[in-house]
Amino acid sequence: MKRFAVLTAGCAAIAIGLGIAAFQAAADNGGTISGTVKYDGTAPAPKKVEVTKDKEVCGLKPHFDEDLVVSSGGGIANAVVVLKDAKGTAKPEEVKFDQKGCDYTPHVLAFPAGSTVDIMNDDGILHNIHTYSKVNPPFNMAQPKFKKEIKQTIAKPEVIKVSCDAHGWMHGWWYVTDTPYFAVTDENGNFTIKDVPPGNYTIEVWQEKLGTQDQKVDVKSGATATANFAMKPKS
Amino acid sequence: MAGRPGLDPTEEAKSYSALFVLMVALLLGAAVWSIWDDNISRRPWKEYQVEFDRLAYNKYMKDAAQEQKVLDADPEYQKATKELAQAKAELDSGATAKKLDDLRAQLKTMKETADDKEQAVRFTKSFLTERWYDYNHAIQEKQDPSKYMAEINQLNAELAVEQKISDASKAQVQGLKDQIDAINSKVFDLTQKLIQITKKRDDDIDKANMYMIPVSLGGHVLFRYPKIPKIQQTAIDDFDRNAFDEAVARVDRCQSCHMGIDKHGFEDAPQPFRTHSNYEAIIGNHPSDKLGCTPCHEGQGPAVNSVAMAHGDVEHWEHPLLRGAEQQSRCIKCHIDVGSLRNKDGEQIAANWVEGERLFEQMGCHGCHLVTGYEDMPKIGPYLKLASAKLDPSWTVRWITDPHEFRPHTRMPNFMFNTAEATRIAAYLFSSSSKQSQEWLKSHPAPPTLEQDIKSPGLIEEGKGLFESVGCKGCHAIDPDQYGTPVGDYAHFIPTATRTTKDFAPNLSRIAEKTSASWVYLWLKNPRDFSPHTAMPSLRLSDHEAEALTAFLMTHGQKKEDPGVEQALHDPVNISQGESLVRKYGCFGCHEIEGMDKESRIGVELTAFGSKHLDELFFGNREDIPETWNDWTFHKLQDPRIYATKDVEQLMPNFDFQDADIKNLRVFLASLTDGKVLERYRAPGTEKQEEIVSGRRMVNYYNCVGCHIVENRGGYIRRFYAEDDINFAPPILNGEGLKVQPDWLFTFLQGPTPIRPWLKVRMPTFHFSNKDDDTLVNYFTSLSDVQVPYEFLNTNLIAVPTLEAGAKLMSKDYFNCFSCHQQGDKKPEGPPSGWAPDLALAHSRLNPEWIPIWLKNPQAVQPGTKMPSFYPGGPDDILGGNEEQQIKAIRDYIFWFGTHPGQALPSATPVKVTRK
Repeated sequence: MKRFAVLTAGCAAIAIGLGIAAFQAAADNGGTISGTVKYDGTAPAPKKVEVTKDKEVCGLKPHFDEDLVVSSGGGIANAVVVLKDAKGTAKPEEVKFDQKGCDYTPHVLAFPAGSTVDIMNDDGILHNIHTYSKVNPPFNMAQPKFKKEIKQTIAKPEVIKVSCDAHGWMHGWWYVTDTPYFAVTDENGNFTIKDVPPGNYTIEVWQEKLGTQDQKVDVKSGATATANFAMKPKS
Repeated sequence: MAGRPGLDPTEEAKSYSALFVLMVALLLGAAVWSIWDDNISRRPWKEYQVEFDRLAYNKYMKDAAQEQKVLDADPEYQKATKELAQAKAELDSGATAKKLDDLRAQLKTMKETADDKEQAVRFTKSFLTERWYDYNHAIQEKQDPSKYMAEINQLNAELAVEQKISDASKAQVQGLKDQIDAINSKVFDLTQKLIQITKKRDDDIDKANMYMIPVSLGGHVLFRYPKIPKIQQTAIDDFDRNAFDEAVARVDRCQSCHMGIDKHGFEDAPQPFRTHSNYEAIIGNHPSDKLGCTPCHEGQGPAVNSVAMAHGDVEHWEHPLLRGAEQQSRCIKCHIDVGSLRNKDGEQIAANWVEGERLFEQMGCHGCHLVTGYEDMPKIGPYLKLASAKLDPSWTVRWITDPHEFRPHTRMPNFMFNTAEATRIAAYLFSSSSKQSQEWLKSHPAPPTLEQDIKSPGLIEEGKGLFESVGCKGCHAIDPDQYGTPVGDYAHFIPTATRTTKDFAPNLSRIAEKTSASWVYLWLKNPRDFSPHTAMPSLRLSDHEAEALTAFLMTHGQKKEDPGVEQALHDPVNISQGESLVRKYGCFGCHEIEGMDKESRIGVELTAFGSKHLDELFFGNREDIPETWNDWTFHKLQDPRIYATKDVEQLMPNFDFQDADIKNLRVFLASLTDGKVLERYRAPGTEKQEEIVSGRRMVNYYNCVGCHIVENRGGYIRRFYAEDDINFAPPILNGEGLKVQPDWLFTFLQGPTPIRPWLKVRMPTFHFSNKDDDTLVNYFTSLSDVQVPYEFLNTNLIAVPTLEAGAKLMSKDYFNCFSCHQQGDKKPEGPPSGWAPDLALAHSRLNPEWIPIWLKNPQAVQPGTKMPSFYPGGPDDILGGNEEQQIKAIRDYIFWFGTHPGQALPSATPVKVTRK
């Protein structure tokens, strides 16, 4: 009996090992998509936001309207790039959404459905997290000084606007995806999506103010496909 | 062959066998026919019952099998079954079985011993009795009793010993019994437990067995035979009263076919077997064995010979089955407040009736038709005693000729007057109102520069901003294809179709064509000054604001003068003919017209319209319309003069109702019946219900739902607010009666004061009378079912630790409430658009019982509110982390600082004086 158990455990270990190897092999065979999201036109000057409240905390740094941040090179920060028709379900993660100096960090947070958001309050003043969601149940939770962290699980894919009613200028976005293949552009508008199974996909970019745009991208094993976007203001 | 005398030999020789055979055949035939006719042809319900029995049997067996699967997967069931089997097996064999046998054998012997000992005691007691007799006898006979006394003493000593022995053996017997019971108890307990676990499955099996009766042998079902079909009937002795107020019995046999109607679980079964819809509300509150079916559904209750007969779809049966929404016309028979009847999901059960009643009220049907209970409703049309101070003459003639041309969605019906008739009516309206109008205009001068000012593009733009923000759009639309508040079914709002949804308030897209800038200005300033009963409120506009709005409105439409109209309006012949027309067509039903205050309604009384027999309905020459009450009414509302003939004139105007509205109105009209229902069948009526009904009428009249959501309906203005800005929309008033204190609400309705000064939209002043105000306040408290509306919190008796906890919770280090809320003169930081109501006023405005409800889940009370929820999630270091107590402490502190402005927290708790 005991010997049988050992044998079974051994087999299982081998099977798991093989499985991991197979998985890694698949990932190794995957391709990469990278590119830049650029602003098509003259970048608007960053709009300064006046801090009207809790100045001793919020007023320590200048605040700018973050709904369209364009780098000197014309790259758009905080745009979300998603592979629309890729197969594979996203594994829930635990992501951090910080309220620091009365700004949301990051301004745009992308994560797969089912993930848990750790909403942090590093400011030591009252904030509230008010979500304007339709698919997921909307909520509006106070986060007073003594509550450093709130965990909230978001079950369904949706683009959710998040704001703080106590500080009218604070707006952020949660882009909840149904795919594991997504990225948020950095301050220069660059993004990279790794380990994409080879295939022909539609890749879409979303920006809170400029809307969405898509194109086709052909991903080959071990190679890097390029997808560049140029976004214009909504007419 | 000589026959017997007197007999006809030829007759004797005749054979009757053929006739006999024929007769026998006929008799047999008749017998077969009578059996067939009696048992088969006229018993279609039997087939339904057989079908239902099969359906129910299969369903319950399936349920039982399903439950068995659940049980099989249930570890508790597995454990119980296993343990029971084990326990039973232990009793049958092994050490326990042996012990049990031993104990039983011991018990048997011990019982015998105990019986013997018991007998010895009894014998000794008998001897004692005997000796006592001897002893007493000796005394009576004057002999020496001492001999007996010695014997008695001797016997008593013996008895004591014997009693002890007997008791001991009895105890031994009991001990053995207990041991046996203890061994058996495990099986007993486990059996009981298993019965509990398998209750659902066993119930299902029991139910299945009711429909297909099992014949079992040794626990195995050999076969099943179907239940014998039987008429199912409910007799209600006195639900109806006849014209002589005598009880009329009803017999309902509907359940002979509709067998699943009062049983859960047949929701998806085919008809006639389906479970009743809204089961909890309908069957739960109207047990079918008490109320039957026809009181709500009509049809021919006792008939079972065919579906058509049972449903009353046969000639001469006056109450055929009510279908769909028609059934809602019966609720009012027993319920006072039909609008509050809701199913378990909170949906109105008689939604079509409610819509129909509202149409009846808001379309002003009561102006021409008398209906008991609706006699005192206000007239719905504009005030015409000052017509000439307001209206453009050419427009008036065009309007009277065809109101729907100018405003397709207007509530004003089309009387199909020709221009000549319209001119005469206008002539009367202008002449009858001219004297008063002149006086009114003289006493109400418009700003002299008005005409000039309103041309300013800046002012027009400002007016547009006001129109968009101040609240006009709750009732009025200014785009010809838009609506403000619709009357009736707005799911079908079709801007250009001829038969449409109606507008509650006029569409203002062509207002300048109708009236003058000065009138618009004066009207906006104070509508009641012009029209004493208007539903239009005052928005407390400043002179400048009123000018700006006037400027904006006057850019909509253009005067169009028709030549000759002015002159025609002054023609005395026109004026006098106009007066006759106004009287004939009953314009005063909706409008207040000079000289016509005492006119009576011109239409027929509709109090019992729903009970009208077909022979009372005039179909004219319309052969194409089916002769039913429903058809007559539908076509009458769709085309009111459809039954007119050459010799029978009909006056009712055309409202251009859309079909959905006609159907709802018809449900309401069908509910106007003369049938009386005995008190004991009626839903218990309460004052609260009456208050709700009265208040709802006011809500309909003043169109509160243009801005607010009341009873889950309305809030039409909310669609103009972006999702992020919904907080700037007028508040939702569901549950308002629980939220605010009635005396505050009363005062607020008399003269609204801003609670949220940052809102652009304004709660207008409606100039309610005290009585109307009272009606509205009672409406809200009754809707919220508040038992004691006046809640009082004595803030002087609040314990200091509670106040301290409340103050701490609200402080900057904790919930920081004053980050957004005002506290008297202390204003929050930041722009006013981010502020929240003044908590120093809360004590006089809010019900202390409501605050905890709000604090626990603000989004549930006011969806979209910027107030975040703080609970669950209170701090652990205040009041031991007890959230209920924390919430109460916040509430108490809010009430305390409201009643103690500018004061520091007290140092000691006052002693509470208990009243005796």
